[in-house]
Amino acid sequence: MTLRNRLILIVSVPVFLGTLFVASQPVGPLPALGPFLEPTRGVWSMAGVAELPDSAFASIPGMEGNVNVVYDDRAVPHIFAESRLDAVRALGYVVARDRLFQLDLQTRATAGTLTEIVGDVALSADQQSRRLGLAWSAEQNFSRIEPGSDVAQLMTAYADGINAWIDGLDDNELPLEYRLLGAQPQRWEPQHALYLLKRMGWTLSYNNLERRKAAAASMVGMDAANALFPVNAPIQEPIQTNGTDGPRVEAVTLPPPGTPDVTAADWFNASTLAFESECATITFDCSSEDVVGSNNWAIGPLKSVSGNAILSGDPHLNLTLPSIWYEVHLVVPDYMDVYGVVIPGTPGIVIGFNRDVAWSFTNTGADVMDFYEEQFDDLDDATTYLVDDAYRPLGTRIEEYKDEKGRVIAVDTIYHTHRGPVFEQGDRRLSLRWTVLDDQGEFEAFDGIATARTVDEWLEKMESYVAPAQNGIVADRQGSIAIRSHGRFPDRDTDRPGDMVLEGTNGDTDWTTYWPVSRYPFSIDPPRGFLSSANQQPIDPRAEPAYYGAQWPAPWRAMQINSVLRQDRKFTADDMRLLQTNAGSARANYFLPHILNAGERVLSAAPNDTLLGQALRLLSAWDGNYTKANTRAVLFEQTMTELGERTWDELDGPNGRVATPSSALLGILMNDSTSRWWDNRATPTVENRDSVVASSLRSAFVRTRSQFGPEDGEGWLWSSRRTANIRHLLQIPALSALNLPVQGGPSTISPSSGSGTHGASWRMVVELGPSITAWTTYPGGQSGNPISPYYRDRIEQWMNGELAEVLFPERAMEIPEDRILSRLRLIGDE
Amino acid sequence: MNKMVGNVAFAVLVVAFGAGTVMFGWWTIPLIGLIWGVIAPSKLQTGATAAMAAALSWGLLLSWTATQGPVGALARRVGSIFGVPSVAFFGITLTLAAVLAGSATLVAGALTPSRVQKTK
Repeated sequence: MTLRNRLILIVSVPVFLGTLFVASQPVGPLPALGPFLEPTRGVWSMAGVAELPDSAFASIPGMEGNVNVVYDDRAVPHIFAESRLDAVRALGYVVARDRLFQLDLQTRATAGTLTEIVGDVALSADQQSRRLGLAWSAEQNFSRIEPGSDVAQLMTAYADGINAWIDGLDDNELPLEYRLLGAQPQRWEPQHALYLLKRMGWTLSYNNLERRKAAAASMVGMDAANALFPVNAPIQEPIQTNGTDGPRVEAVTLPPPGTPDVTAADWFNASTLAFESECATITFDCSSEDVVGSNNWAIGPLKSVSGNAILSGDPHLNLTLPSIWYEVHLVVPDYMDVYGVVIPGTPGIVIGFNRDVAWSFTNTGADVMDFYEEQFDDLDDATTYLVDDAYRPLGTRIEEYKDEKGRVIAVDTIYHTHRGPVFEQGDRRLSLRWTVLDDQGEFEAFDGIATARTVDEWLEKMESYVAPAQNGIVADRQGSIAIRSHGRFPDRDTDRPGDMVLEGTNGDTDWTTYWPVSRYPFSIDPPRGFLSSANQQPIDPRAEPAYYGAQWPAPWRAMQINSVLRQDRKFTADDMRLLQTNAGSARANYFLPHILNAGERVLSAAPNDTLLGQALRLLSAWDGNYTKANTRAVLFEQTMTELGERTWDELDGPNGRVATPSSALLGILMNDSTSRWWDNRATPTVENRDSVVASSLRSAFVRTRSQFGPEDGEGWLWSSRRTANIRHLLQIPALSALNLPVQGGPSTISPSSGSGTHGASWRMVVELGPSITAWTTYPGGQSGNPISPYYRDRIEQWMNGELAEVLFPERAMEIPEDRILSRLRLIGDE
Repeated sequence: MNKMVGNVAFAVLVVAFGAGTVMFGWWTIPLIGLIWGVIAPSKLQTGATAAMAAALSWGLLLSWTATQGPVGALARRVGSIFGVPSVAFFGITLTLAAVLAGSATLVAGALTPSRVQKTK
């Protein structure tokens, strides 16, 4: 070999091998560049499917007739089918067409198989899902469904639709996320629809009541812990109307902080995994009371300008791109004509309306889970557990976690008692009884309510609903309105509330009966002319003293909604829209006078306190609204933070605060000027309410000015302090919509959590007149393809609190040609 | 005459790279590069020719893709994922093809006994 060739080899071989390597293998965050950049099959080819074609044609196995799908100019598919199952097949198809990666990712997240596409970074999340038994219970539930039953047919038809899309996937239709991960979609099994319900159950009905109370008791004793975290909300504005014309504030005197409860401390320090909610494992910011805060309300003819019932709903969830919701219209002549939103993975509309009724949901927050301390025969090699003096065999599940290459990266042995999965907590073994793991009836309910004709019929069809418990509000064209909390609620003994760990060795602690539907919190056509819910305690304990839950968000949003709807006036549908983003705050209205009065009292005794004087002057000029242009809300919020930090210092442990009582409890405390809770243990003097409020004001003013500049500068603009952040499912910033200025603050009707990752995931207003008129939006767009113009086209509308009037045609031909985006014809497999 | 042969060879290479990519995938770029390195005269210029042909071939395929949809928007969005501007994203794509083809050609050419030696 010549010297020249040797030199060429020395240079070209490393270049060739290096380039070949990055072309064929993922390197760090980069996908394998060869297949990724290839012009005809790689990411570039996605340009050809950025927009829906004018028309398309496909087949789905098992179709009974033909289905016409017309996408309108908001990219909403209107599905016109000849049978219910064909409509569901088409629904599966169109959802997969727009949201395939989302479907797959949600399924993997529930199944605990994320590691198989993203590697060991997801191991902890996968272990959580599997230890909770989400997919395991879904598989068990599915095995008990009669194969030929209505619900089995529904789930199978939906799977057929999704798989028809997957099977016909062209190279250019593979979603971007798969290309980035170097993965392929997995086929959809009928039971995957149940996975989604389990996942929602985890998001919405998993609580940490037991741990929270133990944490507080470990610092201030059990008596004080019971008072700080009471079973019943200290301010009552229940969903089931209680005959009062406003909130009822309980006259509570908090017992003073006690000595730490050693048993509770041991227990708290040992407890970890079993009590980690989704907040801790996914991307939720759990610091705010309004992390998952939803609203719904309805007005009857008495409160409506038109005399028609009007319904409004805005469920608040984690904001993601693509959105958690997908808007769709299903028409089967003489059977069903329903419009609304599905969660990709549910074979039916969850929130929406038909020609006669409209409905929406908020989370109930009832306590539908209990932990039992079990006694095993052997801690290290258990085979049995003790119940009523007899040992019962333990169930065992071996879970293997694999990486992208199929290598096993971890193995778990998970035990089960008759109650549910077991969690190790130091030397303790806790089993979990949770309705989310029970057999579900949600699909039957969603299928039924889609064809309900009246409020009564809707309520009847919702009776099979199990979890997560939801406050369902409904209105019909006759002007009737109703609200009921739906779910399966355990009927606990009064001496064994659900916010304490129960003795597993005592079989009497097992749930044996559930509340009958007749006991569910419920109101219909109240004299006041309206109904509402905002996650608050659904029923006044004076009306129903039985234990129902103990983690109720402060009722500020409910109070704000009701204060508007109680006004002596009538409302239009547009008033309902405006109320969804109302900038006022019952929380601010409650606390502001307390703060100003306390500050004034201190100032009058010390007129030279210039810092306090300036803070009071600025805060007294605040109108209590969280508009984007407001420049005083920032000082109020800082004051509230300071007040909370100073007041609950008794709950500060070596690693920070162990638990924080609700703002409603702080509100109650504001009425007790000399409570021992005002005293700061770190100072020799004994503080009272006024001195703590004054020091909070001074400190808030100094901190706000040092962090955000002078009070009239842009730094104090509310829009620069609180923004919405809608992150892509893979947390890729370039595919997210970040730092969006929105109206609203803590505990406003459209609350803004600190990180802005949660908010109104869907907004809908429906007027039920002789015909139905509806307006909707959500923060995202119909397409899951980031290149599509419909990926995030609704975000600006959502930010501005605007809604779009929907097309609700009875027949395809009623859709104006100039509003048709695309057509799709689906036929059976020949 | 030599220039014309060179032009024809270049055109053949462009077509071969393009057809290989469309029919079989990206890996035909280094494969064709290797084959070209074996059969073409062993010169630095040979590698450059292959590199240019591959880049042009993928460039033409991208131009065709641009007729199907908004590749500019796509380049902006996908480029931003990796923190590169859209133009750079185009550039990286063409560079990948060029480097794969050029380096493969040079490696194969350097490892192939020269024809002069063979005729001796």
